[in-house]
Amino acid sequence: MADVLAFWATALVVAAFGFPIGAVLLRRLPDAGAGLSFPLGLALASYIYFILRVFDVLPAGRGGYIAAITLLGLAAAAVAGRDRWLRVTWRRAWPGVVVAFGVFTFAFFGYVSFRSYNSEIAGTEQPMDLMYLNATLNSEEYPPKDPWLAGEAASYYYFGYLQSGVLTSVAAVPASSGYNLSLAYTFAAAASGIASLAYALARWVLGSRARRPAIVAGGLAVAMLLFVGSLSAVFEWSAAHEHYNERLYETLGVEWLIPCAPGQTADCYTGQLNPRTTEWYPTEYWFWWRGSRIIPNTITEFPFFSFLLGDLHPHVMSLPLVLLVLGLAASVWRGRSALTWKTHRAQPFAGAAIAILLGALAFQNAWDVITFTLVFVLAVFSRNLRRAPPLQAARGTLSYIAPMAFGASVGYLPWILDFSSQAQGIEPYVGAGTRPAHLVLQFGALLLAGLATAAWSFRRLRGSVASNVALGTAWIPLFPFLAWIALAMFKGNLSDGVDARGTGGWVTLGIYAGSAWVLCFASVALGFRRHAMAVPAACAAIAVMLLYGSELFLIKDVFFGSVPRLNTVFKLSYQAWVLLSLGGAVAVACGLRNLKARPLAIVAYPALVLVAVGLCYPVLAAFNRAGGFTGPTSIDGLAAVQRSDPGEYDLVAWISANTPRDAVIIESTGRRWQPGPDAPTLIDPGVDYGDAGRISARTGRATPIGWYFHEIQWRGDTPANRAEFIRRQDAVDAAYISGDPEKVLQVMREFGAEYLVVGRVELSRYPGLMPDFAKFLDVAHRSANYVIYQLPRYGTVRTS
Amino acid sequence: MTSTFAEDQPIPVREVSVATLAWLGLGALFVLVRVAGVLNIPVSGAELDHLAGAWQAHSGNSDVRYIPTFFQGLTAWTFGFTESESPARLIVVLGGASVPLALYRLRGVFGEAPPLFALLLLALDPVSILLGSTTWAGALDIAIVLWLIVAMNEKQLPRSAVAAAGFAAVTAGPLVLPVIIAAAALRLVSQQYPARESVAYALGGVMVGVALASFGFGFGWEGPTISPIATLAAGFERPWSTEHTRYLALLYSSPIIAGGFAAAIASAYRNWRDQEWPAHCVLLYVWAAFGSAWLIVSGGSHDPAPLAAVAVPFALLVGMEVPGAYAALRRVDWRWASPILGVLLPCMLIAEAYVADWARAGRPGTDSDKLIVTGLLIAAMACLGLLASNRRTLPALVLFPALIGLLVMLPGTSGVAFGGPNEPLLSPASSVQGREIRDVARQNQAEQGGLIVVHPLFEQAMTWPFRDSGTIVLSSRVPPDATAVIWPASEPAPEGFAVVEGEWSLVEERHGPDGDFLDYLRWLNSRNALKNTRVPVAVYLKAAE
Repeated sequence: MADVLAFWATALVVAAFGFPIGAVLLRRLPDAGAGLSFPLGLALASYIYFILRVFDVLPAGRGGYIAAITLLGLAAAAVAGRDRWLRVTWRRAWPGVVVAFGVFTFAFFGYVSFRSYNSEIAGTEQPMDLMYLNATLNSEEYPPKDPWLAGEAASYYYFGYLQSGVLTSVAAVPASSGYNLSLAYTFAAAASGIASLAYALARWVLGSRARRPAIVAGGLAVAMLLFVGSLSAVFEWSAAHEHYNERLYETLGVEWLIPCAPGQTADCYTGQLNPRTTEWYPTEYWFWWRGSRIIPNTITEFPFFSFLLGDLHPHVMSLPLVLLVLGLAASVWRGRSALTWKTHRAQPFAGAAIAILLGALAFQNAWDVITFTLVFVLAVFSRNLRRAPPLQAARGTLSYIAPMAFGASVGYLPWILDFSSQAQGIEPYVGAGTRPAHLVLQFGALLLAGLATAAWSFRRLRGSVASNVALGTAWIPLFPFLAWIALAMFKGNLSDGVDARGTGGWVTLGIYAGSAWVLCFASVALGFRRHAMAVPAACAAIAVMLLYGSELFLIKDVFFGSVPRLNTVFKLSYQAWVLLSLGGAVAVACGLRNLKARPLAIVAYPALVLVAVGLCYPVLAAFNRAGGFTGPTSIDGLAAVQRSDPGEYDLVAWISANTPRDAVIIESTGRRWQPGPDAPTLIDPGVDYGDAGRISARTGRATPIGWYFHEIQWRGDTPANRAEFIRRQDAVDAAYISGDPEKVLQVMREFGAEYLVVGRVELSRYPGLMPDFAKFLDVAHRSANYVIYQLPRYGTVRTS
Repeated sequence: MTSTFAEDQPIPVREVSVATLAWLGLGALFVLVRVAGVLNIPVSGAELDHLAGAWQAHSGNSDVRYIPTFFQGLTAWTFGFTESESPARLIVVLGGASVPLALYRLRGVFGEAPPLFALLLLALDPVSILLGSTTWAGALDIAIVLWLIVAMNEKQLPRSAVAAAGFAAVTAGPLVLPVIIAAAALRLVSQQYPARESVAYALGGVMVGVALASFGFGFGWEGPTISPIATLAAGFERPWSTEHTRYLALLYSSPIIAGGFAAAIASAYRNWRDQEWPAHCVLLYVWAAFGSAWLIVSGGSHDPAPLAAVAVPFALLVGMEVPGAYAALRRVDWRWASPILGVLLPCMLIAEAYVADWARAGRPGTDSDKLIVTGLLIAAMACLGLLASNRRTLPALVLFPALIGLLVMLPGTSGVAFGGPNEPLLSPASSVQGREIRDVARQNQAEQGGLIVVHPLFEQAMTWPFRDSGTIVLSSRVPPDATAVIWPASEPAPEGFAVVEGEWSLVEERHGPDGDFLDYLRWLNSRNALKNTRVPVAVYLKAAE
């Protein structure tokens, strides 16, 4: 509990330091940005830490983190001192501050309670996430080194881990607890952020007296972003209790819940029958996983699933930052004066802070930078458009954005130089389209809610203006479609693409295109009137364009050959979920209030019903994931290892406590060998998602090679990379199985390794193949059957 | 009748005020306690780490224990002509002797009593004694901090003094950070910036300081170094005490922390009530807040420095409240208060005697004893209630925590100043045997030749006792040409070597009372109640052939 409280208190302190800065950047929000001060403070403190570590000004370790937060505090003091309106702002906003901090606290402890029932860091990509968290915490050099590729700098967008590291280190919490507490932080910061933003937008739409609907909007936004899940959960529940109609299930695209017919193995239920569940909720192992794979060959993850699974991935950790940028965009849009380069001359610090935050989007989750920078640019352009004709507004926008873009590029150069993107360009998607049923199951609730924003656009618009806007905005969905045709023709697979999409796919495309048109029309029409609903409408429009775009195009990456649009749908639909949650919640809450004045807002009711149905998923899945909330609880992600294999846990603890942070250790590559007639035989070369690099991941100490395919993903699928990674695997395996002391010493010296681990994984991967290392290495630590060996040391010291 | 000139003239009388006498007396006490510390405190804790680091720097070895503060550089420099820590400790005392002077100069800001009382508290505070008598990297910090406060309150400061202040602040240890950050934050919030010329000179001093620190004060390139931050960071990593900081706070600093908090609250309440926020008060609050924040985040570290960081502002805060408390005590109706105190004190003393007896025995007494103690405590509480219930006797309540605070503090004061062997604050300590081991090995080497080999486990522990011993081999396996081997006692003896009989160790550790409240009380009553643990080593010499 002390760890939890320390982490929470640290988060509050950082947010308190972020608040005076947020009060300047987000003054137009009713709470002066208090709800978004968590990501604001943390991102700025983390950036200060990063850049000062790069230049070797701050020391490694906890002192450096504390110094960074202190510097943020001084920056906040400077901003507070310069802010003439701070007192007035505080008097107006303090209830919002209290609510924001309250929402954060409630969500934080709520999630901690849930996670404590399934805190283990194991499975999926969680070891990788722990590895990056430890890398940012333990690296003696900055930019941090990649612990799974000894000697090389990390090549990934790791800013989220760095931020988690700030809180983890300052709170003096072990990384294995910091991992889970960072998830809780992200959940809570996202909750307070979207509540603050939705409340603000609803207040802008309905006026400052309409507090109650604004509160509803805030609550609804939290529910839609963080709790609503796939509608398939209702059918999962029904099927778990043996209630299903095969025809209905096939129509709705959930045929995988129908038990397999004899001879059938795919697209049907193969799990336990009679009974399918032993509790009121489905007890089938990880049934909720299917909710994130609704559209075949893609990942349709959504925030609740992320927090349920517990992967501390960049796209999850970026949620608060994304909301902060949306808040900045909304705040900018709401302002009045034109924004040009001259604005920076008057407010240089605000420009610098925004540049850091926009740059952080890329550093935290590279997928976000284009989408949400575009949102910000559109907000600036839209504001300038109210003051100047389009060309002049565009020029002003460019002159406002360019210095910040340049500043962000320079400011993050140390990371950019080490980062190797896996994106290899844009391709037309020519595979099977998304079935309408899957669209409804996955995005139906949010899409319908988002469409409710359009109800505000059909009033006070003269016919000629309306038709001009309608014609103009028709190009927005039309242009990508024409581009798809052109690109597919250029690639020579247009006819394949047309055929493969299928009828359902074309219907889905039509729904998206139509929705995009309606929402773009709404946002432009409302924007002309400076009506606040333009912001939620624009959010919904951009979200639908993202979904629409992922039906037409894909980002070519390492999955191109097998599941080409896996990442594109995954990452873009995740962004769309955020935007639709915000826009949809505001629209529904305002629609319920203004139904008489805006009859079209009637759509809010079915949307609300679908949202309610979507809330089945979190209830059922949470009980399934937490085993009915009956097991032992702990927030330490390694507590399960400690219980099940104390010796293995002891190895990790010893290495963490007794080896230098920059030590290199030799541990199993994860490849499985067995004795052969002449020489050991490799029987399983697969290493990713397994135990490879587990000591390294848990301690942050480097090892020659960790997850092979992930390194390929981070550094590119090139012959040179493949050769180097395989060479490293071969060298490490040779150290364990060659039986030649010279070879062992040679491998250790080559990678600068001082330690060699023989634990549970090594004993299982190299059974009966390892030599007696004690004959030529020192025993540094022994725990049950497991041993850590150390290179014999010899050196001289001058003492005078 | 004639008379001499001398008889005619009145004898000139020089009036000496009580305050002057108090300044002289407390100043002398402050210095004498530190002199006692210099003479008695064993090389231990942060000092052990830093002496070893300074020696390594002097020997040309790169070592994380060398943190280039100005004083560390100075210590390393003294090793050019001595291998003893005494000259460096002498510098510490000389620097520390300026603390009374700095506090004296602060009378203009705080008035007479607050700095005077702060001087008394700092003279008696065990942590301040330790960190003001030994040669850790921030040994001059308390003096620097107070002189910085003096400088901040000067209306006109010579340029050279401004530059010197910048240099001193950036080459000091971590104790300057809370006050600098507090002052900076207040300046930033109030938008009251110093003159550009002053900033330029201060920056000049800072740049020179950073440059010198980065070059290790002449002992090699250390990378860009801001000494206070480097020392602060090291405090989170290094074992500068055996016990955790939060436990040391409980053992040694609880009176000053509790008193400081109470004084801060009382002072802030009065300022709020009067709607007057004098700048020096606000600085003290913010300084104490930053110091406390540091103390809180370092709770799990092994670093006593945060305790000294809060001791200074809290001592001043307590000092600020003393005149008010004294005035209130003078208003007490002692006709009522005396009898109540007359009952209260015996009740407490008898109860304490019982509990102390239990503490000695290590277990609570019989049921009847418990009943008696409970009755006495209830009576004492009733007395306190009686004192509190009447406005004329209420101020007398302050005597109660003050007395308990003194009872907790004074044993620590004497224990630390006289280098008591049962003070967890003075741990880990370099054992007296370390030098003996070194002499045995050196003598053997002189007779037999060959190498002195030390196991890498003792790499850090050996630096200080083995200083000035020529070249030592660090090896995890005994090389063939070794003649003297310092080895883990748990490892088997190397072949061909004879063990040197004795219970050898390089480091001694003193843990605090580790049980319940009775354990603590036992330690408080009798400092001999602790067990010292040694990290055992075995000493082997090549058997004569």
